[in-house]
Amino acid sequence: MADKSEFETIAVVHLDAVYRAAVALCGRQEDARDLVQATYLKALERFDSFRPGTNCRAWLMRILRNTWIDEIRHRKVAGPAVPLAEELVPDPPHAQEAVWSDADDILNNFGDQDVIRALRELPEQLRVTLFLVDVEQFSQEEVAEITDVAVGTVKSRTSRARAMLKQRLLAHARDLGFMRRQL
Amino acid sequence: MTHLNDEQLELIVQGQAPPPHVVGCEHCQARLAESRAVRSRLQSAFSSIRADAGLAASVRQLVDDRPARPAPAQHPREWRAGRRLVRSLWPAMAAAAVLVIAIPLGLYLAEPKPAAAAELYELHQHALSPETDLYVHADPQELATQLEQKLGFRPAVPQLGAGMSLRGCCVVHFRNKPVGSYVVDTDRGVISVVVLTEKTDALDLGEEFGYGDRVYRATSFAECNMVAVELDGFTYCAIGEVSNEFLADLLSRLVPSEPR
Repeated sequence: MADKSEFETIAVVHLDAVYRAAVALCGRQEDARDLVQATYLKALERFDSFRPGTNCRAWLMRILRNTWIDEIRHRKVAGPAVPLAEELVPDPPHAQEAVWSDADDILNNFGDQDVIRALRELPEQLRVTLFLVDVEQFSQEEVAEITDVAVGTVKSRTSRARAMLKQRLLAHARDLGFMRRQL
Repeated sequence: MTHLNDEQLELIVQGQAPPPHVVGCEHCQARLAESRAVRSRLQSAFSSIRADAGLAASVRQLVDDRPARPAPAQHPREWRAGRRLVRSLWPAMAAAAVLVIAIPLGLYLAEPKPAAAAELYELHQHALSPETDLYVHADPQELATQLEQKLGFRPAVPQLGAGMSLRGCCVVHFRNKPVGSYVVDTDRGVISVVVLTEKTDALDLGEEFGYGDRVYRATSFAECNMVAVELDGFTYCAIGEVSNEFLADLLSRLVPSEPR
């Protein structure tokens, strides 16, 4: 196994980023903590295969995503671990495609948790892509490598994810009375 | 004048300079501002999220609890004498080793990577995707039956143990033909065992090596190793981010499926 202090220096320093990604994927704090620990355990086991000088944060994100996919599969086999009502978030009504004239004002009405919740309502592939591009600010090439898809797919997923997130926030803004409903 | 398409818009949001059209187009400016606002709000929402001290401590504990690399075993006395001889011949052996490794390595690197390995890697990634529907059953024979119905032959099944379990199976396409794939959970990660009708020679899967009483072929692509073996006229290729020995060990436990 690789040197522990080297692992600490290279990999554990990205703990905050890994935790943020886990929150984006899981939502629930307990699940996110479990996912972070499982990710670091796998990373430690595979640290010999990490190439020094390459992007360790991207390497950890890839392990995290694969660990999460494994978890989803286990849940599919074992059945949902949480009540369905908590897992399934109903689609907000489709918003009319319109440009927000006061996007900043509207967005600032939301709390951080509201924004994160809206992101979590997106399909997994779109959610991960938008999180990696916008929050972690990976390049599209890096995101393509992390998520095992072509760069073109990252571009289209980012675009779709942003449009979908906007729709969800718009719907929530109307529900909460931040915006007048457009008919 | 044409407005920005989604892809152009994304590139600008991520830092590319906007084309001149944007300067005079209120619609594109508004879309751009809106996308930037969403991106900025997403960043600020996550900026307060940090791993707390408890999580940091538990991750460091994980690292500390992992056993260090085992110390080399103490060799018997006669081995030590042999090692002294080896040490004295070391420079000559090192030079010979460089030649033995460098020449085939140069030839290997000069050759293009076989396409089969890339395609098998994709099949493994496909099996890992949450979108892929696996046929799931606790009984491996039921999985073999499922593959038989789709493929027209009944493949061998991996006899598992040592913490391994069969997650399921699926039908995928290799060289435009349907092939079967078992998905195996192990304590080192997920392994796909793809069942192919091609012989290992036709797959160009690297050099042969012996493991147990069978002959295997091994190659790699991206971060995955691949080991293949022929059994009863079919080729079984195990793929995963584990060592060749681990894959060969899994394949060595393939047993003919019970006829139904």
